Amino acid sequence: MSLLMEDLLWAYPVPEPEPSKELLAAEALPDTLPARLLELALRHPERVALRHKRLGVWEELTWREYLDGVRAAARGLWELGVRAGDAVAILSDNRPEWLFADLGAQALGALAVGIYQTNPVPDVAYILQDSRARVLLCEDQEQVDKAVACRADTPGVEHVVGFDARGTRHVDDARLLTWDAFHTRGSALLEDGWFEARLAELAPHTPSMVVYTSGTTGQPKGALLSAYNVLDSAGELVGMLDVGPEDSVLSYLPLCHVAEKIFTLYLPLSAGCVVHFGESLDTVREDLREVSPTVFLGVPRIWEKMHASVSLRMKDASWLKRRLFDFFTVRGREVARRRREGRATVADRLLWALGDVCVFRPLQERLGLRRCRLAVTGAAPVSAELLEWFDGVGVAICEGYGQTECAGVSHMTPPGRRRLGSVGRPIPGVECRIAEDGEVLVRGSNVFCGYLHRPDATAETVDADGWLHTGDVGRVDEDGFLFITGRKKELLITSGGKNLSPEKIENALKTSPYIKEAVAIGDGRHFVSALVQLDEEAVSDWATRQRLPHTSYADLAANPAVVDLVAREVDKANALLARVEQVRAFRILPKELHQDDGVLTATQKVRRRAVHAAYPELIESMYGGKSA
Amino acid sequence: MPTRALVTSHEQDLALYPDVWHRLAMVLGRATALAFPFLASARWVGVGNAALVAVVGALALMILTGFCGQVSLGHAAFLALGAYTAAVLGQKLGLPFWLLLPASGAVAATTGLAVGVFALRLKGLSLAIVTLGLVLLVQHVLLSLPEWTGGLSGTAVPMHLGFAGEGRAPSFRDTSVLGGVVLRFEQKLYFLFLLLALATAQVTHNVQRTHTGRAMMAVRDQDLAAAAMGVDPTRAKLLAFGLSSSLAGVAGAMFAFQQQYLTVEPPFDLGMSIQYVAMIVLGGIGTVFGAVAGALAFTFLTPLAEEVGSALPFLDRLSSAQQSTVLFAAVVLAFLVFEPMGLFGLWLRVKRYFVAWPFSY
Repeated sequence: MSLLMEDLLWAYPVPEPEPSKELLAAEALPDTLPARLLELALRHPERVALRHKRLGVWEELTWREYLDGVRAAARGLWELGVRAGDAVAILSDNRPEWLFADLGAQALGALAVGIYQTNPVPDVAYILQDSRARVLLCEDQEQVDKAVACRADTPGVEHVVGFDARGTRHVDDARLLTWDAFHTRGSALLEDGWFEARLAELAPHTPSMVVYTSGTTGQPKGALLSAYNVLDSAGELVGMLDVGPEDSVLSYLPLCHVAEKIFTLYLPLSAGCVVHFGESLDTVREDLREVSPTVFLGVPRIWEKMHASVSLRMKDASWLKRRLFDFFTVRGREVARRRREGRATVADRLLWALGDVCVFRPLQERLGLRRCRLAVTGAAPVSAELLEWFDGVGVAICEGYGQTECAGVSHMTPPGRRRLGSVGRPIPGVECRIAEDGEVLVRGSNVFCGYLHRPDATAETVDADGWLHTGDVGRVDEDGFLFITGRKKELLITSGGKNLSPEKIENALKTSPYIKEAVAIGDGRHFVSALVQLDEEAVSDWATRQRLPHTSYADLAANPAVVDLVAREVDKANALLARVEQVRAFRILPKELHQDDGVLTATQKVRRRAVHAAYPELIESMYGGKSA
Repeated sequence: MPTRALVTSHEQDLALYPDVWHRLAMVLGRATALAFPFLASARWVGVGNAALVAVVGALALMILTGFCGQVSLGHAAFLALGAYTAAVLGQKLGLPFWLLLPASGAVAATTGLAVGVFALRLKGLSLAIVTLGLVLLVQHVLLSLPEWTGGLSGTAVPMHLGFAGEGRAPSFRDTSVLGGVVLRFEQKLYFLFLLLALATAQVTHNVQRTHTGRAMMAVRDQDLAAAAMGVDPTRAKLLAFGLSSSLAGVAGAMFAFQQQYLTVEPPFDLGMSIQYVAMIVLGGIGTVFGAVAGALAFTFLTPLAEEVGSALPFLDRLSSAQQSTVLFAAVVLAFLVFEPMGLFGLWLRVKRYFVAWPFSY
């Protein structure tokens, strides 16, 4: 019922009331993220800002409650001795407290540092040392244990706050404080006008966030971002993508990553959309289906997984459903291609409408993408094949491109003008140029302030003219669309002298539902080969259908029938590749890649060199035997 | 199914009719139920009344057997107790019918609890045998008190509107006129029964959704595990016996009102107990939907089979009662073989087919 009322209110715009004195004062504050929050909370105090699913119910927080949380956190941090320029680290899954702590620290002029909650103890210790954090906010007992374990290595950490006190009562560490105590003290000490006075002292160009790069090639570096960096580009994005207060977002990718920060912090604080926090990482699929967000960011891995799960489940569908699905996805793909090229006929439209009712709509419902107006992929290269498949079922995915060093986004595909394979055009206010060696250079308001405590690395990345060297190789077409062809430092140069992009080869392999990860090899070799990690779920399902007895991943990987299956999949992938890029040999990894072994980064990106170092015999066996 | 609204409070999760589709189904269902006695002939309204009695009786058995897993063949005994309580108290004390309904429930519940105490140590087949004995015991008691129950010759069941003194008291059975609409006895009875059946369904549904029902189901699935989790199996079983027998008593009183004249045997014999077990199995064991659907299907199938039976080859040589028995047996057998979850399972299958579209799960 209330939903209906709200709809009516949207349809008939109510004249804006006269801005209050507080609102005018808030608007005059320096433009920072906490100031944006203050403004939104004064403008729409009772409108829902955040939803958090706990015990099966989506608990709602209004903008006013959001602000209250941030204010109490800011005051609490101040009480713990945090001042401008200090670092505050957050080690947690996405949840409202993350935002309270992050924005609370920023309100003091301190630096908010996110740490991946999947990080093992040494990596946590490294970031705490490198950022010189004074306060660490942890999610639960698991994370508190990490803080305690690296206590000796991190003397700089003076206080540890645990969001969830369960299981931490007997932890013997004087630094530990529960979130409840921290928050209650903060709210009790808070005086009128204190928070606003803090915000008035801030400067938009001073760094306020540290985002650690994923570190595929070395130790992660902390990129310093200012409010100006992120809000300027976010403002452009809001206009370009037409995001408004009626939009909803699901926050599920790690908030330490700049891409999720855009969708959980920068966009909502610019446009006022509602952010949803699901129950846990394991329930993303269900949370997504329940929320059905209008704006959805997926990394390629998420889209690949979605595609794989659809193909897998369709195999179990009844004859009629399968027939309809096969027919309409194949036709849908053709229609979508003609639509992109602007030559869709009336028959195409009719066919699409029919497919929409029979397959596309229900499928989107199941996936939680029915209401999604804006599906975005970014943070890693994605195969055009996958985007085309989604296009064929009515989910138009826009590709974005950017680095941590340019506040996460420098290029975006304009909705409605998509070109598969391109990462889009520079967002307004950003310049893009291709250097002589093919490297993509970016300049604009979003280019970061430098690496934390690493002026040497900063100088290597940003040149004197302010151009950010992305490290990616690409080309720009006549309309300004950027095509990324590979990483500058990671090109494979075969013994024949051909420069190949491993990503392209790996993505072609990963199009197969049975291949979860692939590592292309060929540097200095006379042909390209690959190490392949099976998708255990899909391959185990396949094995069940083939009536192959199987147990673990290792067992599947060693099974000759599975090797044959992967060989067929590799052949299919080779059809998408140029002759020199084709994979002539492969081996299945005997063990899944894992962050704890150092072969994956916290963002689940493969550290190629670490994989090479971990499996030298396996690699040599492909070249030594010379049999393909 | 379209994207459901987000659940933002526990109340939303508790709602009996959470969305438009449930509300639509409820309104349509109630409208059909209300229109039925005006559209159907007197004979079919009579069948409808019998069906509503069966609904209450089947819901009662569903609590005991479906939720709590206590297989009972003694259901007829509780119905008999309820029916005879209504008859005797109405005849001897002249109590109004609206007081007879709770009185019947109370008498049956007392007996049910008494039996329940003995049944606590029994499970499965042993319990079935003991409850079977209960039917014989109740039959014997009723027949050996002819000054109250009329013995073999039976007794009439009055339906006084108020406390009857000397002379003829106004009866519920008289045709009445309400706002220009003439309401015959079977129509009035239909509305009374509809109200009782709806209330019983609501109560049963709520029992199922609350901790009481969950405790019963835990005992049904594995009583030792339930006890280990802190469920008190004694309490759950006694509650099930008490609730079930009191509702069965009400169903018995309803049965008596519809029959107007009662004898002990038939109808209160083992056959009746087995019919109720068949109803909840046919409908789908363990669900409110199953009890209601099973009772309706069971009661309507018999006269329907009589109508259809004469048109079928081979069957036309049998008597109409035999035809309906044969057809009925065939339907029940088919369900047990192909859809052991009963009508409820059938409904679930249809619903899932469309809800999971385009997948299968």
